[in-house]
Amino acid sequence: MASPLRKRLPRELRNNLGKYLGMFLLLALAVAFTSGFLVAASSIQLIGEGMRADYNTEDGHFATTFKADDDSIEAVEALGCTVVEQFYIDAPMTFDGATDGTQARVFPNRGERNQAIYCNGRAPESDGEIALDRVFCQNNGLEIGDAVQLAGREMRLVGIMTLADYTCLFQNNSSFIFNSLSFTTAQVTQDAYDAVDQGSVIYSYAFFLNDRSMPLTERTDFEEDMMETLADNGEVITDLVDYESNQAITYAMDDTEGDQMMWQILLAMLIVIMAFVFVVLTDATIEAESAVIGTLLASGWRKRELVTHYMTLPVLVGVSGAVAGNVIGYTLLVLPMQGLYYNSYGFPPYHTTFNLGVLVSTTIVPLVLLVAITFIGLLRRMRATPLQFLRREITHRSKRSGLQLPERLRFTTRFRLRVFVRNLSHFATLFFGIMFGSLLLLFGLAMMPLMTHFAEESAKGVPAEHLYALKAPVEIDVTEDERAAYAAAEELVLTENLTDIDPSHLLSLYLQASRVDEDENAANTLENSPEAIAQAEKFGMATLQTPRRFGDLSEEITVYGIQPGSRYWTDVPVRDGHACLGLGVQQKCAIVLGEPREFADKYTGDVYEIVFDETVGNTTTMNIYLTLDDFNRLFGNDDDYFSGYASDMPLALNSRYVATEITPDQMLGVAAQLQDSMGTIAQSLLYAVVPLFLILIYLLTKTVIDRSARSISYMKVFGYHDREISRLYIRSITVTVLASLVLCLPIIVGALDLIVQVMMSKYAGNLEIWIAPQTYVIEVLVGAVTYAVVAALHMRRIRSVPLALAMKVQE
Amino acid sequence: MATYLEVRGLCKSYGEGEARVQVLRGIDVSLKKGEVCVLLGPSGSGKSTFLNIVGGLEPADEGSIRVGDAVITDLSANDLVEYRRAQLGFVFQFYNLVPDLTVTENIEVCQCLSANPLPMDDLLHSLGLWEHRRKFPHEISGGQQQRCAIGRALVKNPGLLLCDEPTGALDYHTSKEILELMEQVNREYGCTIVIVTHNDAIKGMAHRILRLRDGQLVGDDVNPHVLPARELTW
Ligand SMILES: Nc1ncnc2c1ncn2[C@@H]1O[C@H](COP(=O)(O)OP(=O)(O)O)[C@@H](O)[C@H]1O
Ligand SMILES: [Mg+2]
Repeated sequence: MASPLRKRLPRELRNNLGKYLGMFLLLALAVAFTSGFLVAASSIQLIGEGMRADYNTEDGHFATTFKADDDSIEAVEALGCTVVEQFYIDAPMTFDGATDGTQARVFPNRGERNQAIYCNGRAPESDGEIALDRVFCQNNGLEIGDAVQLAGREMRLVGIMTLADYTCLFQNNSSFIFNSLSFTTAQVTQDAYDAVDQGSVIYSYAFFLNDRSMPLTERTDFEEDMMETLADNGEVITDLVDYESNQAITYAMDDTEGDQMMWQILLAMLIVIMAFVFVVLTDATIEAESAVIGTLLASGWRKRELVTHYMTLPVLVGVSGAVAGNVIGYTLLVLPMQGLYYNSYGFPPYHTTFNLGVLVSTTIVPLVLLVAITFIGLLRRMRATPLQFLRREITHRSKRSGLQLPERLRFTTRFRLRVFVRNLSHFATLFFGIMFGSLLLLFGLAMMPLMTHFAEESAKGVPAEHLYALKAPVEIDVTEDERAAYAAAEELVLTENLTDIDPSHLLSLYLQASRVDEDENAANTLENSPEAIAQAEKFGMATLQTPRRFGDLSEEITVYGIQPGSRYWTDVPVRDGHACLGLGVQQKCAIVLGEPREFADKYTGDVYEIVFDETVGNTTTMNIYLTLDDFNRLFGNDDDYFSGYASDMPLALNSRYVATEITPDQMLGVAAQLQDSMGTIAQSLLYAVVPLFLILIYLLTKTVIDRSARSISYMKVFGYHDREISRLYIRSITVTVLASLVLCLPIIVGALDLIVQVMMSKYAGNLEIWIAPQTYVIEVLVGAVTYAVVAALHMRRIRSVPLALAMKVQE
Repeated sequence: MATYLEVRGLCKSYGEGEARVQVLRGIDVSLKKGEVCVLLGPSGSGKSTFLNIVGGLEPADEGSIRVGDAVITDLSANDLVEYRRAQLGFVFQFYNLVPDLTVTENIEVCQCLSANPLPMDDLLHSLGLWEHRRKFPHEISGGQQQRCAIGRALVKNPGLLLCDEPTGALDYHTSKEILELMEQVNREYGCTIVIVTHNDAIKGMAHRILRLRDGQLVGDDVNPHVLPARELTW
């Protein structure tokens, strides 16, 4: 015979709709958001992983200063790969509404290798046509048929595409973040390409290994051989990027993976919170029904039967919440979540792939855990004897008379203290619940400002208005004669067929060029004002790597050789023999001042040992600093070597020598980009977190007030006014809520810091948890307001219950 | 008539060492099938403890208790549940009804425990709850709630009905109604009833009157003039 208690279930559900709806929504939303997100992300990951095979993505690329000889390329191919020319020019581009300084990386139309994936339109066929990156077009509102000016030439947009090796628009592989607002890849016909100024061509070569499944370690060896072969053939290599360290290829995938981890962390937090809520709520139910349970046990009901009864609703609510969550997740949330990525990254067309792992981790595991934890909690409660139930002694409140309070305390004070002590377990529940909720909310609220803060701090790291990184030292403080000599030499070098040049001019070129001093640094052929020359400062720059504190990956560190007493690096007090360490490096790589630390050059394998005397900068500073002289000694350079200029005034530099130019504006661009890419994910996290927080606070507040309801009724019977009762009961709850909201902050910040550190151990850069002061305020305010609203509503309900009725039902 | 309940040398104490309280100090009682027994004694004398031990809710320290054929002091925890299920009805001072079940449903909660329960409709009529059978506990009076609680204890048709201060929370008239109901139940269903009370007047309706003081039985009398509950006054 079915249990007659079954008839209670619908009534219980109706009478405690808020509670069960809260539990249902908590689970449904948690499952919906996490499954929606994880399904989208894992589908994208599958698509991304398929790209290498589907669109022939490269295994790596290298670049040489000048066009490599055919012999060199043949020698490299003989090692076991195919090399494909992938020359490009970063040309200025403008159009209506373009960001200042927008650049297009222009390639001639590509073939089967590193394919262009067209989403819209077609490849350019005539010289006036251009195809641009989909994400860039989307961000700038460009559509097929629009006009753009590429390096001053009018072009018509005929294709919207993604290059297989640019799923993410990194102009520079060493950047912290991509730029899809003012940087795009572009394809044009070969003729249109040739028409763009060839002065700044990057001679880049993509290579495709014959054995495409070669593991990374072997590939690294292969690449070393390749470097040697090129060097032996007289080529100067400026760049070597393996598939796996190419951010333009891997960043999008890493990001989807990293975000999945963020959501999995959120999911884990949610599971803990839900388990907590389920246990608290079933506990409260058992406590409220203690006497009834005692009577039923005394009458011969078995504990097992009662456990089954009290499990029914949580299980029903849990299962329906999980099902609803999956339905909502799949139908409503997968596409918006997918959009977050497709707005930033150039993946091929999207399709959802069902993922069993996601179903297990977002639904089955939480559900099973919830049921198991509720069950264990119930079993534990049910260990009490029937008499303990009858006497309402199942909570640890039997020592209620224990506390002696001084008589001189006012009655209300003593009473409040007693309420507090007696309900200590409730307040502990409140504290932990609020802590979990706040962790969730702060996690959602803090991510965005954290990223902005990071970008701003990084911008501070750019010491001058312009930092020019050079491919080779080039002097700007030179005489007119020296400039002319170099201009002549350059013309000779750049002219492929010298017979094209007028013989008399050729002779004068030779004469002038012969005055070039081979032992000296090259001279800049463009003229700069004396003021500009006076304020420009030489520096050396190199990239080395050293292991991170967590995980087994290495961090790439920029080594600067700067002038002692530099006018730009004012807060970096280097002297000869006195090296400075960026605070970010110290944190990320656990470097100890005064102890030698090894740094490796990933291209040559050379290892350098540096001892640091002082830390400088902030937690985003991922640089180390030596004097330029020490720098040159360390790397065995000539005394007059340097690799860049720092300058507050723009310098006219021969573009052939300039590797990159870094400005603080670019860093602010980075901030904008971060807000753009992280912003959406942080925003979506917030959408998930805020309602969950509200529900959690609602459930907790309601539970604690419900538990006091009986005492509140008694107080009313004794003749207390509502106002006095509020003072006695509600105030202590309110004080606890507010105190919890504030006091749990240090614990939460510690937990968040740990989460961020773990998250960042896979990424470049040092990101220390930083929470904007206003975030704390918002977090506490949201918590307090939620509590106030729920408490007010609930108190009104309790007051509206007729006294007699309240008393009757209680016993 | 045969002995139905037999208690021999029952001892019970709480606490350890200094704090140890000897609550029951060797109780011997035998009740016959169908007897109504009133257990009197001042507050704290051990009445509830006695009842709880007989009901298998608490273990005895020493002594033995036999109910029908079962020696319950020898039973395991599981067997005790089966014993309560088959033999016992409990009525407490507070009614402890399930708040979101109707009168009928509250009784059904225990009806389902028995293989041959009493017919519900007859029981509701006997309890005087027929008109109220579809109401929820908060819609009926305290006396009616206690009737419902008695109905819940009786519906299994138990051999032994244990009532701990069943009228403790009720006024004079309602208390009398409840006592009359017990009398009637005893007549109709023949169950043995133990009523714990500190109200001396109730002894009038009992066949047996037990008096407890400081854990010892200080009186065990057969009532020569059993009064109908209707005629009790206090
Ligand atoms: N669980 C317990 N722990 C300690 N002492 C108890 C416990 N239960 C009852 N007592 C003590 O046993 C004595 C008898 O209690 P009880 O049987 O409830 O008395 P009565 O029902 O006659 O008023 C009292 O002094 C009481 O304090
Ligand atoms: Mg008692």
